[in-house]
Amino acid sequence: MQSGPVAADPVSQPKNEPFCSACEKSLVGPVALHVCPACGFPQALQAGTNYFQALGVPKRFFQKASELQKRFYEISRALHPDRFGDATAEAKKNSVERMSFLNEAYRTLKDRTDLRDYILELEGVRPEAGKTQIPLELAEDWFEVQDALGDESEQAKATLKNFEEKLKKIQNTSLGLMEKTERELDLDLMLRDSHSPDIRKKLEALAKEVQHQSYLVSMSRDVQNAKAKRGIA
Amino acid sequence: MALDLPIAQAPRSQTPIVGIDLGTTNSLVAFVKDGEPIILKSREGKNLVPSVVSFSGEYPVIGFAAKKNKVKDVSHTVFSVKRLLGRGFEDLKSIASELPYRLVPGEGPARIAIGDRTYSAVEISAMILRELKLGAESALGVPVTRAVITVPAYFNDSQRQATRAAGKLAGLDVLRIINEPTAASLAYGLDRKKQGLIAVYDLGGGTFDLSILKLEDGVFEVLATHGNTRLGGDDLDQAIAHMAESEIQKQFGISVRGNDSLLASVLEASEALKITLATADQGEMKIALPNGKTYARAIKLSEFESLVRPILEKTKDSCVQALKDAGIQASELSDLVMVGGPTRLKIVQKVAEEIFGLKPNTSVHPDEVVATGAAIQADILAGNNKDFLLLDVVPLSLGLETYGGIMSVLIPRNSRIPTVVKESFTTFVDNQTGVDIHVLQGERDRVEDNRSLSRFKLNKIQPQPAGIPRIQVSFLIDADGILNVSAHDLKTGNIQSIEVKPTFGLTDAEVEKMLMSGAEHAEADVKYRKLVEVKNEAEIILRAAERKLADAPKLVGEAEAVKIQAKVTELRVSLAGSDPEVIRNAGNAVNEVTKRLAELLMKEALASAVKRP
Repeated sequence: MQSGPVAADPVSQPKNEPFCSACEKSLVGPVALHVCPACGFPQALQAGTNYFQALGVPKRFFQKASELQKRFYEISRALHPDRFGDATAEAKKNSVERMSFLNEAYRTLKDRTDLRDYILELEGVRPEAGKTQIPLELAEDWFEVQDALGDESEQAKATLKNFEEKLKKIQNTSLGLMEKTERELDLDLMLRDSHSPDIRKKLEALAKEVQHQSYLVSMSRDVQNAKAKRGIA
Repeated sequence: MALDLPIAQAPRSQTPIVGIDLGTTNSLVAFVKDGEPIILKSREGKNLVPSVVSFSGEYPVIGFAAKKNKVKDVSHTVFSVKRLLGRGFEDLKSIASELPYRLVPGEGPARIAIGDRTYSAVEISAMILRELKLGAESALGVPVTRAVITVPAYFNDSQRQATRAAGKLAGLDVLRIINEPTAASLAYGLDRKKQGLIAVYDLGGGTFDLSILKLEDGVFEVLATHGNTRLGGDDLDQAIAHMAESEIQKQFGISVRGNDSLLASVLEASEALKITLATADQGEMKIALPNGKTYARAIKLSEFESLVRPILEKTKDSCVQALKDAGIQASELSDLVMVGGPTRLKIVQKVAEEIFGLKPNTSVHPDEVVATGAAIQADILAGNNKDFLLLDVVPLSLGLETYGGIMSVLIPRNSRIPTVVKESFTTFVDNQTGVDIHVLQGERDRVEDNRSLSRFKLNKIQPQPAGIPRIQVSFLIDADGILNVSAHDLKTGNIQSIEVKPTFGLTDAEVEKMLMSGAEHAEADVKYRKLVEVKNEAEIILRAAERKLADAPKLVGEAEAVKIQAKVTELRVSLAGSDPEVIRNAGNAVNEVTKRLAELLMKEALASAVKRP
């Protein structure tokens, strides 16, 4: 599909229409951004290009896998270093750098978690690693569990089981909340720029939930590890 | 379009790009001619060249001629050298006892002792590649200087670099190193009817690879690859050999290990038996012993199968891991493609079927498919095939040594290539001017459990307080799966100097030195090589001239045709001798005397091309 800039989503296309550095023709379309359709020259990778621009898809939390693959194949066909076996050193260098970037872009956007983290990072709201707090709703139970892990009694086992169930429930709620926010954001982003205050608010809420979720995941991991160590099925 | 240009005038970009399968046991060259891949005949007139080099006579001999010496002249004959590529002596200790030739203890890449000289695996591989190059030149009638060479997918960086160095040493511009199973998939999917997810089960002479690919509209995307670079058909031979060895010890009190020529006989008989059992239900091996007696042993297929089954079951881990990394179930695969000579064995097919629950596809030529695929990739690189595209991955994780002897992963295995990761480094003490970076490849946590690739030293850092310098290092894995490291100072933007110390590989400077150095090659080798090259060139001229000869009387007249005939005969006679100067002069004379004829032929060809609608 030959498609122009994605409508109502100015962020996913560079602001100024770019020109080929070799033949100066203008570059329009998702493949042309990488390789000039007129002269075949692979363009140098511009600092500040993001993964959505590289793949020519809108900035969304939910990407269609088939669409991503289609774009990735389409661009790779023109950009891959195999297409520049006989080209100049500069063309080869550009192709390798751009293809490396495209590979990373595709890998990131295909993965739900990495995609989410990437958008939050682009929006400058990605939570700092390590700056987490124990979720309040689980704080009390967590200390009980610490004791129960060193204990072989039936009561300890029950405590552990209860905690795991509670944790699972909270995790699911958190995941559901994240997904709901992401869907809302995808709709909002079709209409408005990510700088609008309501979108900022949602992005920040999502970032907070990501942080919450990561603590839940690490708790769950700790429990599994502790259980494995003590040989509990 | 064969225009019969004099060799020196053939523009480099018009020289053909061939595909080479540099195998543990056999090597092949292929080329895509007008869209059709063909295997090029060797100078011995065969489809393949045994990867054996023998130093029995005055000059090294390669191929079937050398293979004959595997038993006859054990101490001067090198085979399975691919198992040594990119490895050090320490690393090879475990297989050294299985090889009838001697490895020299020492640091760096392993060396093989032949007589009073030593050779690296790169040099031996270069001899094999040179033979392939000469064969291709003689088959195509033009100089061959550019190639795509295949390697096992699970080859690490050092092994890939060693392969590229061998190509360079053989006078080849190695345009791409590609993975064997990926190459095989190109040949398999050539007709474009095949789509979907496939697994390529590639058991070669010395290596095993398993790759999972997605084939869609001409794109061949590798999803995951895994393997074992120490598992192959050779191990099946070894299993038979071990059995024979212990029986010989028991029955005759003769020890095979330590008797190189007996070991070579046992290995040869074991290999022959294995080949027999690919098609027969039973076989027999007979080995002449030093005491004049003969060890004779009949073996049934079932006994052989239970002997080698444990070895083949080692391929399962790789298969399971590759499926997991690709994120798919075996049931989603639409085909299981078998590649490599040993997959002719029913037991190999059985084990593969058990692992995948899928009937193996044995329709591709197990020995030729990799070279064919390499030729297709060469055709892609030449710009002739724009429908196909290969998207490959790096087989092993790349990482750095961090505090406490732990490897921290920079580029995870199965990342699509090319790929680049940038890391920023600084100093720990005031006025520190150098930073050491230890690059590793592997999947384990502890540094010593992984392969050490290289040590890089960032040099000449401006003396500054600790933590102030910011040096950004780019770790780029290129489309060959080979690591390239560059660095620059983030504050000044200057290129940062790096000193590279490959653990087992060669630095570019070392390869250059090998290329230049006469000391590395005995004078006889150099002379011989020159003779072979001159002869090859002359043969190309001769063939071209003979083709033109038929049209000569009509185009240039009888008198000139006779002159040409005379020079051609002179050239043919000179080729029987071994004086490179005489041959070269005779070749030049033919070029000279046929100049007018060539021009007229070219005009005629152009005229008829214009006339065509």
